[in-house]
Amino acid sequence: MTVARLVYSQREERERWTAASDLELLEGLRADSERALDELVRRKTPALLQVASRILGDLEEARDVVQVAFLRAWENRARYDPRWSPNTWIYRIVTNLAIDHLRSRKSRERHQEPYRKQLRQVESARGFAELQQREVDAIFSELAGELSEKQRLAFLLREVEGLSSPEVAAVLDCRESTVRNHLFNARKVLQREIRRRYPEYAT
Amino acid sequence: MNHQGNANVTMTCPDWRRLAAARDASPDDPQGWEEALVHLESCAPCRRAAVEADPTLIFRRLPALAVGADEVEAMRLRVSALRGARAVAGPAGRLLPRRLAWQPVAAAAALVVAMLAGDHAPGGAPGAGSARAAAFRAMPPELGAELAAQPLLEELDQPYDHVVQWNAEDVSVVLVVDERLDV
Repeated sequence: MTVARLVYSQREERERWTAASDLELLEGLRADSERALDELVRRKTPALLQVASRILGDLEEARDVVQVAFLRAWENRARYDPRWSPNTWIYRIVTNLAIDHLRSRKSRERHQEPYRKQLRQVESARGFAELQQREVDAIFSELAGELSEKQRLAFLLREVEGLSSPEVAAVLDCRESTVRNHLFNARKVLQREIRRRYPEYAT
Repeated sequence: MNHQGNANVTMTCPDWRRLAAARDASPDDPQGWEEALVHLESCAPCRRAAVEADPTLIFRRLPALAVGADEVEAMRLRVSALRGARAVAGPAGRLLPRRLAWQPVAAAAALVVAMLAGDHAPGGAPGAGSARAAAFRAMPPELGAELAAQPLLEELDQPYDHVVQWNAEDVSVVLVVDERLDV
């Protein structure tokens, strides 16, 4: 019993995709180029991991979601329409998977545990202006549990990641007015919870 | 301009209380909101005034997740391995934990090692040509065509259930998997 072994250089093709635009990469995917997928993974992993980890509040789970998102992009490559923004398409896959993952998560206590205890351990008498960004990140993870899925996604994509309202609407597959309503309600919930749980930072 | 007694403000600083009140009253952003956010990026006194008026502004520009090149490369390898695994198992509808995702690939790799170390048949066995043709017919058409175009290094002597292509940094390894071994 023997096996055929095929070993060949693919450096030239990889360099070609490194120089390609996002749109060209997705067109490469549609043409079944695995090297285009490799480059898409290299290019988009940081941003997608960030979004997924903020939706899920857990980096390990975010890694699972992002890797499956890339697989979904590959498996559904024929459905990509070049008229869509490449970012919108891939963000949509990731956010949908992250929400599915949230729904299937049996226990969320770990992610809703108040961050206050940890804050106390870090430093008890620090003003808001001195609050470290990583602590703000943890506070967001805690308070985001009070938002509905759509509110959390709208707030995260628009207010934290800085996507435009039309882009957020495309990712969430809804109208811009709906996005504005989600943002409006998310802000009210977050303002209320910050003032209730962290009044020293919202005076 | 209004920073509630803050001495460091300038005439160009927005009135954050007015802006926040307008945002609390309507889903639509108030006039001048985008310009105020641009100003906020470079005005430290404004940051405190803005957060006092709307505490959710603390979440603007959260620190970027530190993702190193090794993390990116690990993701690329996992995606590549999972894609190969799905060639064996077919599309899955659920998340596959990363620790499980490696198992099909590891099993296939172990089989290849066993093949190379064991039943080695230089020059090919009698009837190997027809076995190779049968193996290609059993593959997905695009993979079969691609492999058929490659130079044959060693002859297959029997058909197998699946062929999985695994892409690494500069090479592609084609794993021939015999599921009858149940590895």
